[in-house]
Amino acid sequence: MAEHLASIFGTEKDRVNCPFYFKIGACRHGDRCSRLHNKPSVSPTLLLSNMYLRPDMITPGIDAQGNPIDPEKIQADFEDFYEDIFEELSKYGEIESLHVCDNFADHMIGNVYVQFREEDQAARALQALTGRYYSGRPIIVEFSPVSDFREATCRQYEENSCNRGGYCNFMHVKEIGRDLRKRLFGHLHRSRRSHSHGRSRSPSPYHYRRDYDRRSSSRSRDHDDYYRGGSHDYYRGGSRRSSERHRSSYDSDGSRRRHRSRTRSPVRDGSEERRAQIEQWNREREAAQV
Amino acid sequence: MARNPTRTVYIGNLDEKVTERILYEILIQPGRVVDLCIPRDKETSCPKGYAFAEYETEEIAQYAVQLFSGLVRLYGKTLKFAISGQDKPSSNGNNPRIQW
Repeated sequence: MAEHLASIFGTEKDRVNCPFYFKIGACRHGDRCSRLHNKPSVSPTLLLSNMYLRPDMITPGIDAQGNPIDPEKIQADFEDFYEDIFEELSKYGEIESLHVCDNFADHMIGNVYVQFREEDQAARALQALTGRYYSGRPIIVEFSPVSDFREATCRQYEENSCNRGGYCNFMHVKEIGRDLRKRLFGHLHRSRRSHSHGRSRSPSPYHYRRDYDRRSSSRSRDHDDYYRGGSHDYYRGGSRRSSERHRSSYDSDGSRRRHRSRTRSPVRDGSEERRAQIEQWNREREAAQV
Repeated sequence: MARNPTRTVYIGNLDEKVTERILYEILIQPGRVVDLCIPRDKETSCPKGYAFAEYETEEIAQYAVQLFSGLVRLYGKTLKFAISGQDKPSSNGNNPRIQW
């Protein structure tokens, strides 16, 4: 059965935890997700949801009035925002990394991820930021389960080859210029070097960049499969229309067959119809060859 | 009605403009195609970007994979071919293969 093969091909069999929330910290279903979002009670990483207000909210490169925006102006405004956020967050602790999402989907647009060196620094920042405003909008801050940003970011985006564009479910991290990076992160690394109880890992002004450079450039199919879809299919009892929309991909063959006969969509070919069509194509082709 | 995985070929990296008929015309080169399926997303009805095709025999399926791998290009995308059910080793062992 093709649908069954498709549903199990390359599928993790975890039916409980949401892999998008666990890995990327943002799930398109949010609180309505059919799988568990294990929200950490403490974490070195904070998520500031939808904080970056991109000037091209509707169409990339076009502002709300329909006029083209200069990409250099977008980048300059973005770096102002980045520096703003970095300076404010630095008050609460040492920042390991600060990522801003370039994605368009509602659950990821403008998300800011800040990873502190210590959990208590992140907790302090969360407490300080709760209830405050930025650009006239409340700051929505929470602990994030993301610990390895290499797993959460979209490699194809970094290679400029992501087909999903702004609606990819992996992070499209907006990059800052080298000068700003040196100014913000270089200082921290130099000050860390002066600590008498310095860490065993050797500090580097380009630690952040080096992590990116070390990343494997090969594109594994698993990565492609991971972000290709975005919806969790699950079965929920109730009205016919509801079950049609939320049919589960994980039912056994028996229940899948039953569901399909009850809720068949007119645009969907059944297995028998499809085979009959192919059989007809085969016959037409053989007739043409005679 | 269960499909035989050893006779079924997985086709990946499909552009959404590829129809069953187009794919059928290509896939019949090595032998007779018994079944062809392009799964679609339930919410958006967009093709998910891959397909499964069943041939009459295992030999035809294996020959198809050898014949087509790396050579078929549709709408600017090079298609991937594999025997269905034979999982490729992951280049990143930590990354679970998750598909929705």
